[in-house]
Amino acid sequence: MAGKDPPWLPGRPDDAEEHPVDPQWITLRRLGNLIRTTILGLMGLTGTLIFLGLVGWSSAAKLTFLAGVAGFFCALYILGMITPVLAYRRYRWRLDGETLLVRRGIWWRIETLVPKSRIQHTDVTQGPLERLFHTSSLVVHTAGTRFAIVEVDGLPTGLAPKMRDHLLDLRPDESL
Amino acid sequence: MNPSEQSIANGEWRRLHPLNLLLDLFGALRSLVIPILVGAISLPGRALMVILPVLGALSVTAIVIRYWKRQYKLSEKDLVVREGLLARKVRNVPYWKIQNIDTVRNPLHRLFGVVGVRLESASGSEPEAVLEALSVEAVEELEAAIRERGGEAPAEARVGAGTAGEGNGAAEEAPARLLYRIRGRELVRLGLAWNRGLVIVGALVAYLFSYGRVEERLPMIERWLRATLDRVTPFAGDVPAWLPVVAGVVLALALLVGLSILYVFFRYHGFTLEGTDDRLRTVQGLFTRATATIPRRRVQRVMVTQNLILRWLGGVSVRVETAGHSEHAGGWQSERYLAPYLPQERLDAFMTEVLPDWAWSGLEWRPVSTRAKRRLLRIRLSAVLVVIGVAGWLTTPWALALLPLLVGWVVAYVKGYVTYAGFALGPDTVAYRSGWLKREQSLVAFSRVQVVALEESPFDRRWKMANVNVDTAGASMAAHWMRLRHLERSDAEEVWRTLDSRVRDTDFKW
Repeated sequence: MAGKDPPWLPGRPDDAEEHPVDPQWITLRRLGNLIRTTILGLMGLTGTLIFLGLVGWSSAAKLTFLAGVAGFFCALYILGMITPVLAYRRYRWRLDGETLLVRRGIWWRIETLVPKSRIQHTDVTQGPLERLFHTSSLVVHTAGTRFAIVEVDGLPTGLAPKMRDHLLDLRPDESL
Repeated sequence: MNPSEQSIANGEWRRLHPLNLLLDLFGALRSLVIPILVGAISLPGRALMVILPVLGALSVTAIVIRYWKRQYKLSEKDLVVREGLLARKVRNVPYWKIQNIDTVRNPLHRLFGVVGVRLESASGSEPEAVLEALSVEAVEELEAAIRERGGEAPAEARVGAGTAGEGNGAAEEAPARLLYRIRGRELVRLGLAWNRGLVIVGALVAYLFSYGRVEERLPMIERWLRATLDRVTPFAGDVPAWLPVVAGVVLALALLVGLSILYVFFRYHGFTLEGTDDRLRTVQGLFTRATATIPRRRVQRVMVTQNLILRWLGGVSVRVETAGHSEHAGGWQSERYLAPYLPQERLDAFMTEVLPDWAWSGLEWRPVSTRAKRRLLRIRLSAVLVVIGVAGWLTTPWALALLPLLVGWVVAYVKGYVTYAGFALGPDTVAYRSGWLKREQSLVAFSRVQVVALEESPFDRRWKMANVNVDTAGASMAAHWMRLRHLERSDAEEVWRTLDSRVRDTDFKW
């Protein structure tokens, strides 16, 4: 597996370096935003059409209103395409001997630190879209309250279980 | 390995005290009162004569069966509870996992010489086992079993060496030392400060409304008030019209304060805190006696609160959070006070005695950023201006008269907040304090910190500030939030680095 790993993928999951996630994460995010915005847009459009059918405005006013709504959703689409790139640049994870660190956020930034000894259990999850792009997510659960769940998504499929094994001090054969 | 496999053979199954039957019956009656009343009004008498006995017989049968099939056993390593006739359930609770042992004795319990017991493990919101009524001897046996067999976690469940003292194995429990006892005068002060009167009135109103038809009775109440007023007026001569109103308000306030004092008096009467080497125990209540046992190593966070009235009176309240903490109604304690009212000057000595490892007294408090005042004033005052401006424009220019009041309020708040807010890094602990009228302090040992998160908004960056979240197990959403806000960026980084290096050094142990 190590032979075809891309250069940004760590050789060991616990090398104390800060790593970006798989660049596929950007595409994944964009797809997600696209789907969300489309659903929202369809609902918004239906609502707008019903609303325009009910009010007694002139057709010019109606057209302007419709254009405004369409413009709003276009802006949402564009934002949904741009923000994943910015978010990707700010998204880093680090796993050293004792802690997992996750850094994210464009404007509102948050760095989360989870000591290995506080981890109660972990999940490795993979949704249908993630499966398509060969990425998976590592979800770490602690006994905390507001930050009880810390997620690292966009990890290459092979890496998430490796990280989990390291966090839980499992030997590779135990996890298979 | 099934821990109960072998021990199931040697324990013996027991039932709870028969008082459970009565308690369950009361419970059933309470939940059936409304349906019966509704039925009595809407159904013809003859149908009622059939339905009521059938309903009664059914619930009595269910209660008897429930009592009959509900049994528990003290086995070698765990408490086993089994219940159910058709759908059966067996629950094993290992002794060492039990976080808190709470008992409650209301007047009914006392009349029959029994005790209600609730056992909590770390699993969170739901108590591990509730045994509504046990004889006093049975409870003593249960407590002894938990004490003697639960002191040590099995080797595979222990993670390295812990920080707190533990491991008294099967030894006799050391004699408990009295650490705190509330005095009568302090109960009255507490009643004044906590102002629980409104809570009682609110609950009463909610209760009345849930039983419906209060709206219909409101005119009746009004008539009664008017009649009383008419009867009083001749004696009063020509008093100004505002006098009865003022008198009414004063009377209502006095009533609220009186209710609050009564509530606190009944609930916290005779509150004592005792400590042995490894556990704390509280006893409280006049009619309903409740006890709670908290192993010292289960303490996740200590909170010291002081509202405005407590500050005037010179007292503080000290609470702890344990991981198994849960909010419950129905006579069980939802709050774990170590000392509901403690004279402020005794706080340092108290904390040193109660949690010696947590080093409260040596804390050096450091302030939030020096720019916090300017930042908060700017944002809050702009908000006030916008709100008042819009209100004045939409309604009447007289809204502007509120401006000085609101500005004064904001300035007072910001000044008060900034002077008090601060953080401290002790040798083994991190502490945070905040609040204006109600001051709150939280103390957490590094070994209890679960997750640390450094947060920065664009505004924080502009003002070179940052926030550090310190997350613990069982932190109540309603209580003081350990979010160290408006810290100087360099201070935030220092806290972050300290926590990073120290938290990883310590092991967290249930």
